[in-house]
Amino acid sequence: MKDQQPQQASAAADELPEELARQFQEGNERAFDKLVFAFRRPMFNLAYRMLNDYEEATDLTQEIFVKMYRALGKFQGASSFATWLYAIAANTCRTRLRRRRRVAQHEVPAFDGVEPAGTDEPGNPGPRPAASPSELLQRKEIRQLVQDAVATLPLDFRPVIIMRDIQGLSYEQIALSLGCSLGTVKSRLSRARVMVKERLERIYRKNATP
Amino acid sequence: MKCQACRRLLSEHMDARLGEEKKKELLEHLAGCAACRSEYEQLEQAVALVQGLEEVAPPADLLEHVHHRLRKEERRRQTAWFVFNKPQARIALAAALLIAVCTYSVREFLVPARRHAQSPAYEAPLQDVPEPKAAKPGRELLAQQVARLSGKQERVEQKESPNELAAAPAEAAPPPAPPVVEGERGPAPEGAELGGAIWRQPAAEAEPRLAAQGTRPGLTASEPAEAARADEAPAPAGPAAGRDAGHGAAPRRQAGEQTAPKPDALADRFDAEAQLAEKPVPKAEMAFAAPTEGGAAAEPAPALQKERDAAAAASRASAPVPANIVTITIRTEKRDAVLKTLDEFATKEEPVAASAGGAGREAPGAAADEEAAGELVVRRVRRGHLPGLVVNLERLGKILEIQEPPAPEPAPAASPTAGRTARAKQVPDDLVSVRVRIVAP
Repeated sequence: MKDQQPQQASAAADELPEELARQFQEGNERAFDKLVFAFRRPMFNLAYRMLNDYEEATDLTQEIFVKMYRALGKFQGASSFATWLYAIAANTCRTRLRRRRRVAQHEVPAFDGVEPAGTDEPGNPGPRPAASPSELLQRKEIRQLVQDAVATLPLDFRPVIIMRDIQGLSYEQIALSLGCSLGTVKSRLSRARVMVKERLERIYRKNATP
Repeated sequence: MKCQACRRLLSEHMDARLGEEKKKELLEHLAGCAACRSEYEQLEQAVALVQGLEEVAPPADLLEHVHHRLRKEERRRQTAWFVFNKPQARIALAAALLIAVCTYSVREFLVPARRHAQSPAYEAPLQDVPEPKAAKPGRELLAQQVARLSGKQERVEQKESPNELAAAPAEAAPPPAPPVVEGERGPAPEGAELGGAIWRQPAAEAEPRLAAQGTRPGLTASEPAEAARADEAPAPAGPAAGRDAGHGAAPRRQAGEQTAPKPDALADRFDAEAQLAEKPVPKAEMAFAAPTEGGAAAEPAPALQKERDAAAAASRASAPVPANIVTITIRTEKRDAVLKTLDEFATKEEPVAASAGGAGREAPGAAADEEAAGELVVRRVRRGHLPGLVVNLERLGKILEIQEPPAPEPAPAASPTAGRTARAKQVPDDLVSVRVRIVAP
């Protein structure tokens, strides 16, 4: 099992996010730009993995940063800025997904092992021909299948596995961001991983049978 | 350790979060259980696939879009707050509220008499009144009369057939009807004040229709006011017209010539009405409308007409206005039922003034004439109850005619508030003398 480094601010290495937040509170609008630049990748990837839609993820990322701008004045520094921002992002994602669930035509189709349509994402694979499981694993489109398996998890389990296995957050950070207990995080993460495994196994079996 | 407990710990073991003791137990179980070991390997593979998902690059112009969105939301907030944030806007809002409060206060407190007159008791009988849009031909007259009495103008009919309204004065003249006693006459209150809510309408709408009916024969010779108004109300020509104390049958005049009493004279009119209602009018002072029994109308002499016009012009300004009288002619054989209906609608505080052929005679001398043609019963009812009375009477027989005094024209209003005040002052009385002629079938 490889160790993951959390996707954190890359461009703000010289300035901690908490310091940038303090500068913004003192009237430095440029600090906001630096924070957006530092967290644009983790926020966008969280949105993309949650929604499984590039355009909608872009819109959701903008919404997350707009909410951050509005709430930045209330940031007290009780937790790390990353945890605070992830909490905003998780709430925004949850709201968007619930709204999307109410609209039937935008509902993410249930994961049934059927190959989903490709997105406009750069490097998105084309249509997938039938192949053996070993070949399938070697193809890049497996990423899309894994992404689909994650994106079709129930709402309570999706952010946990994304934050832990994709974003590399600790259990404690996830618990703080989602506002739940550490035991809940452990339980949800365990169940989410099992669900992803079962879904991928279903694909393997489906592709293995002639 | 059992397999179920083992599998619950696999995820944590993958992240190296198990304590030493639990980790040891788990490893011992995995060493001895091939199924759990396979499960762990598959789970580890799946997690590795998830962790191997590549990072997706966000759009390069994400920051610009965020700024654009912030500016857009800021503009929206400013637009919403702009109206109430400026001092001028607040002053305007306060002024609008002040005007609204003042308008309400003027309507509520400066017109108390009107408010008292419109108690729920006036509107109660109207609830059972059916729509006067009866399809039966026999009910059309009733519907029109009810609408007139109530002041409700049937605008739909006017819109559909404007020519009919123009021809109304000639057509609505009393047909060969039995003689109708027209003692005191006074201008009726405007239609808007006649009764319940469903009967209300602006006076400006009710006025022309009432005037255009042209069905108000008769006048009194006793008072200058009646003489003055005699030329305003057309009297049907006939033999009885000559009895009208020297007045011939009045030629029909234009509806618009009816003059409105000045608001200042309304108090006097009110008192005059009360006095007239309390005391019976002597026969000698009464004038009778001429029955048009198929005879040709007698043309009035030009000299007499001029004299009457001059007298009317002289007395118009200072004439006290007589009481309101509505005459209903009904053909029925249910005399007792009519009397009972009248008593039901009669005011308790205002005893029956008189009745000819009934309990009492209004004018002893008039009994012979009245009884010859029919029975005359007089009651005082509230004007708001009048439509209900008409409808109830209609159930007992065929209403041949309904005559009511003309309504006064509203005083010209300088402003909307002044107009309302003037209209309110024009309500002289909500008690009406109803004379019901019962004609035997």
